[in-house]
Amino acid sequence: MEPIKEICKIIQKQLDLTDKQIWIYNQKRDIPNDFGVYYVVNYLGQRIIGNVRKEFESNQGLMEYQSVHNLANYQIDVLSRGNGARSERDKVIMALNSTYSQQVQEANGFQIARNSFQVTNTSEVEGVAEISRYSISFNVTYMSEMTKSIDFYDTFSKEVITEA
Amino acid sequence: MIINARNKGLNYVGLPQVGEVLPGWFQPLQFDIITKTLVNYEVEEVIVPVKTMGVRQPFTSQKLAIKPEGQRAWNWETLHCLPNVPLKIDDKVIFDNKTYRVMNKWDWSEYGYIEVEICQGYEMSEES
Repeated sequence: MEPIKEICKIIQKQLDLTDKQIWIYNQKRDIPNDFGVYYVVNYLGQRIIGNVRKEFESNQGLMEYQSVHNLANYQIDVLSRGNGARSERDKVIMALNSTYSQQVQEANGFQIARNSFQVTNTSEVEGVAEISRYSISFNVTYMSEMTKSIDFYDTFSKEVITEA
Repeated sequence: MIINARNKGLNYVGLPQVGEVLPGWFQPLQFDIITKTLVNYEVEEVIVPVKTMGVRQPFTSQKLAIKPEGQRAWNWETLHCLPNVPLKIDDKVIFDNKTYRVMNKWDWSEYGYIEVEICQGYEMSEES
């Protein structure tokens, strides 16, 4: 599960967007030059709030289970060549706090912090037009985990020198 | 009544339909077009092979001179081909394993051809 794709899914479903209106930030994707409203989801960074390692026995030998608990920061840019983004920006916040969003979060084990939203006007002149752009950042807590086999102490070779 | 150039006005541009004679200049061209699509919220590049008629020419020195400084050293070419090629600005094309990007396009489909400017991409050494 990638939280960024689930966030895209929530926004697309709640705002009834086409596949071409929302994408994960990528320099290879140009902003379309029509007057539609577009949504770009971006990952800004994360803070580690838990880093866990446990060992356990299994049929395959000794295993290691690791998990990292993250407080990640994501950003959604709502942009348009006209003024569409201005009226649509609040709907993004509502979409992320919708019932559908809650269901997706529960199904995938992550949580969008409800009171972490920060909206910044990042409109700028671009070529001959002004791109209306609103950047909405928010926090997401999620967990990544991994299980791997590890060496047991009896697989190490050791030389012992005694007096006998 | 005599009708001559005076009747057409000053803003009349008379480019003839050259689609029938251009194949004499063109030769068979085969290349791949790389177009970008969104799949599962991510950009994916799709390669579409194309067969058409056309001709590739290097830029003249005059045309090169008006390109932004620093891009002059790149390999620019002009491609004329039949209008059945779905080329768009920012698409990539592969000629003989060399990748070029479409930098500009003049759509003269009404007159039987399209003209695009392509610029060879940066070639990286392959990882061993």
